[in-house]
Amino acid sequence: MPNKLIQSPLGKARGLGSAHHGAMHNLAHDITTLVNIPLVAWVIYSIVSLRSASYSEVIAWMSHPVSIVAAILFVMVALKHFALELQVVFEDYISCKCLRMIKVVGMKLFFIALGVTTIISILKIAFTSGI
Amino acid sequence: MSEAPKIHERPLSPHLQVYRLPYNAIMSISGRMVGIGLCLSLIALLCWFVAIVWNPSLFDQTKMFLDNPLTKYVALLWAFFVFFYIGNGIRHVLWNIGVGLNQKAGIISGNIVLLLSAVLTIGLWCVTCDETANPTTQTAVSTSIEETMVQEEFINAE
Repeated sequence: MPNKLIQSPLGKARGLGSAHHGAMHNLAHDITTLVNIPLVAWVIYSIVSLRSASYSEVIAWMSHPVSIVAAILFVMVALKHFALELQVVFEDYISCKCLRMIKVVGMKLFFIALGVTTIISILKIAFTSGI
Repeated sequence: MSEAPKIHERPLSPHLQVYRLPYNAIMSISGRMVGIGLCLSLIALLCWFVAIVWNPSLFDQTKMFLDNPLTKYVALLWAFFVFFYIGNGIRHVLWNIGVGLNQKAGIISGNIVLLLSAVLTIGLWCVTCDETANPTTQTAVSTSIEETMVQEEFINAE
């Protein structure tokens, strides 16, 4: 690290600008929004049609190949979308850099764990109900 | 140099506590708050799903709660927020490709989103309103766990 006292103004400002990662973040946020539209429509349709179903009816519905694919895609895309969304919220409202880092990384690790657990559960239904 | 201490007398810039938010700002902040709420509800939904997959007896226990008539209205409110959030998301996508980027267009598209969300929610309400008319179906399907296991074995055998 060079001595700050003898650094030129340009030298001080260098490296403090944009990280050039924002565009990809925003694009991924938008794409997950659009991809989620049919998946959310499927989720709402499923909830409406299963609103008074028994456990075995829910399992039978969930073990259909279309449901397995749609459910796994929904979990992945929705969690990715909310991870991007929450990251922006944390970055906007948490000024302490250390706390912000802990929250963003912790949130992402939690989402990965939740996503993996949910997908394993979907696969459990898929492989134990005999498709 | 004598001007320097006056820095404390400068007016505050308008911030959230003292500033009456215009329509587009209200839509923006409510979109973000709805997003956080939906994120929490998604976490809860996935936890419930994982729980009932690994412990099927939890399904019948939560069924009592889900069969509560109030739950339907909570679910409809949730659906309204989902529609609102997706509509807001589409607005953001359009803004990012340069469509409707001014105050008037923002107000119009915001109203369209609110109206469509309300229409879709009322549509869902109409689709599900047979529930209250025929409450016997709810008790008929709430089988005990033993029966569920038998049905599961039956499905496996098929």
